[in-house]
Amino acid sequence: MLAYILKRLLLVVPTLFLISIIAFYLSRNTPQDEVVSIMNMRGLEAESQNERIYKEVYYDLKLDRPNFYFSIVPRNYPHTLNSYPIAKDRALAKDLLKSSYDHKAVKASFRSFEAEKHALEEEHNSQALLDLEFLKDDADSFSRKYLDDSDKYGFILPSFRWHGLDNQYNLWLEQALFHEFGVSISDGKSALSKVRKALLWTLSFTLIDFIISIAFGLMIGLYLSRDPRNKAQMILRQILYLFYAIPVFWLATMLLIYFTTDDYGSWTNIFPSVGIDIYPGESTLKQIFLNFDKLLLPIICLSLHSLAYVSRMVENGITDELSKDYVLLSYSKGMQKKQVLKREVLKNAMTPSITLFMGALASAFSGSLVLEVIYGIPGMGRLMYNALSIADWNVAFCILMLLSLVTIIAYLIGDVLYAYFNPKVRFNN
Amino acid sequence: MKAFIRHIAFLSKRQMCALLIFAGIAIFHQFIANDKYIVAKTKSGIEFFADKGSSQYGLPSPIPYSASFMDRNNRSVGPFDKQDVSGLYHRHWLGTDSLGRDVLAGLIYGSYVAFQVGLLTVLASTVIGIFFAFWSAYYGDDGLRIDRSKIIWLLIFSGVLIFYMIYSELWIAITLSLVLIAVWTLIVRNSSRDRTKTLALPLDLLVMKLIEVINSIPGLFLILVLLSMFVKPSIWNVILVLVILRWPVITRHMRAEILKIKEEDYIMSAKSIGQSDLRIFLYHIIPMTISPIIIVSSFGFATAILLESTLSFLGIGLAVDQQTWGSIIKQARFDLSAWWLALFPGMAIYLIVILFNAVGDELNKKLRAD
Repeated sequence: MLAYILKRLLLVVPTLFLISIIAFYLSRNTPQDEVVSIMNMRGLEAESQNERIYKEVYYDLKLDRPNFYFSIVPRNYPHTLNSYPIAKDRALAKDLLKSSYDHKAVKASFRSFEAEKHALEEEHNSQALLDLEFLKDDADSFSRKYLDDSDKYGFILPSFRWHGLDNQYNLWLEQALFHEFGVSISDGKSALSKVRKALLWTLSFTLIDFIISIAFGLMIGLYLSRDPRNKAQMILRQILYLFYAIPVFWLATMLLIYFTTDDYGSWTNIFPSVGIDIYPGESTLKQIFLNFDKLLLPIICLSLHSLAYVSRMVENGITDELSKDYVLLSYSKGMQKKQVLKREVLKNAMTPSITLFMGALASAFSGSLVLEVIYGIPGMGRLMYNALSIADWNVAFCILMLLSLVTIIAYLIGDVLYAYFNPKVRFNN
Repeated sequence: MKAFIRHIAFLSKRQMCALLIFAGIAIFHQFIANDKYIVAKTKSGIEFFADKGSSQYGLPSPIPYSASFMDRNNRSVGPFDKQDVSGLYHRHWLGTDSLGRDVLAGLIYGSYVAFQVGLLTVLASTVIGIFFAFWSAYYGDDGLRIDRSKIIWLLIFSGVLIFYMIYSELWIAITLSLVLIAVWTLIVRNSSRDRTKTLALPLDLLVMKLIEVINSIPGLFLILVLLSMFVKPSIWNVILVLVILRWPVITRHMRAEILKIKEEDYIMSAKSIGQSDLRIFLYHIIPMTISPIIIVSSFGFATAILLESTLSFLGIGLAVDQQTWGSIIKQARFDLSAWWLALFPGMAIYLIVILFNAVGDELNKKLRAD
């Protein structure tokens, strides 16, 4: 068993490595531009107006480095295309390189373009300047003006480029391991500290929900399976089915509409209106404690849904087990139904649910974006959403790595518990 | 097909009716809620979906509003409020939103969106999922053996092809791929057939590892990153992302089924008379997996609709002006007194989700009893 756990733990590292590479590749290919978000936050217009500042920020963030440790590109390509800071230039250069121009000639053509532009700016010839800018939209006309066919390669062969440690992935890895995942571009705080705060907020309501749903779900599931034809139990089952199928965001909105306002009579205004009060200078835990009345509605919403889900699963598991032979044997020995359920059936019925519980525990860490948006809680879901919408990759990667690690470890614990409860699995391995 | 019809016969009459009504409303949404005439006589003859101004005689639809039509006189009116309309026919039975768009018409258009998302997601993810399940369960870790030399050739060829697809002009890539296919069929395929030098492809391991990696990335992160990669929001992106999230579930489920079927005697006899793997898959495995496929699809339909409405509630992925069930509920958050904006679309989602879950449960129960 110990060897198995150690083997699984060793496999965590390559899996996390793979996830980080996939996420890094995705992040390099999204249209959002972190430089633009930073400029927007400083109240500046887009790149075309403030080219100088754009370039400054671009080099500041070290975005001109190559993406990865190595690359396999055609021989006419430069060391890295990231050396063109402006996105439009990069696209144009890519087009030119694709039609097999040499990268030195392309670089020279950009230089002569800049020179011509500079000359026109001295003359204040705005019409000609505009015409010149239009050239950049079309690779054909640009190449006709600044490049000639002698710069072309014939058939292009691939070449392997080694970039060494000075690349963006390595920079990120270094920050992640030694500098708390780098700093957030929105406020300059370290990514890990932001995630830590959000995680506390999220866990404050998801963990309570997790405990409630498992404790009460087990009890209700046991109660329901005791006698399938009892009237009261049938009604309870229908109510649970109602909460099981209800969309969480709808339930949350309805509770918000009916129970936080005076519009439908003052007696329905039970809960405080949404939005977290901020107490400056207090620690996050103290703030959560002071805002606990605001967390009641999200807890109710989540646990109604998960309670229904868990009790359904438990009931189904028990009903499946009850038709097996060993239950009949227990009855024939003269045991009461209650005893059979508690001593014999429950343990067997629980084994399939372990994976489910562990999955629920893992998702408790990632929070619920819907509830956090509706009730204004600064938790993990909202932090991730905000980070991704302004391309704040340091924070996004920090969340991703943390949640992936939690998920993998939760499933590992699930598998170990599974083997503990179910000897069949243990002996097969 | 026969198996499919046999399963449908398991459903109760009520469920059958509900499914048909939902599909009918979704498919014929243009005939039910439209601010134009369905058929009208205009100057240029009989015309379908003609503007009300262009003709005098025409067949109007039962609800005289389309989802995007804005009634400027009736903004944010409830179903029981006084409405500035001419007669009962033009009344907004379920109220309007802050722009004056009719909620009932929005619901009907929303059912079309939900149907589209559910159906396409289920179809695409089932096809992808079952192929992966077949590779992983039928071949296992040592079922597919290939010549070592052929594997090397295959790797080289695909590497070269991918390289030129990315980095060169289209005609070069196409010519090259034709040349490589010709070389493969004429030379490599008929080269040495030395059975001793084969290598087993660990397909099962590869597929399961891929699923593990996808599962350990949080779903929300995957959705947000993938949707942000598209410049223009559209329903197709949402469907694509839902398929990416859904196929591992189907593969896992189907893998377990195919592992069971694989051991049956008729598969062995089919193999022994020399039937190809493709034929075994199509004629002997697919028909046996129809029941689990239908059950999983039914739950998948509910999940897809629920996820889509959650996304449009959050305003992620779909265009801003697209009316869906989720986006109507979203507006209720900003106007807490407009209870009708939250109640009716929520009921629609709830009923559909419960319908598909009930269908899945019913089939599951019946098939277990068999």
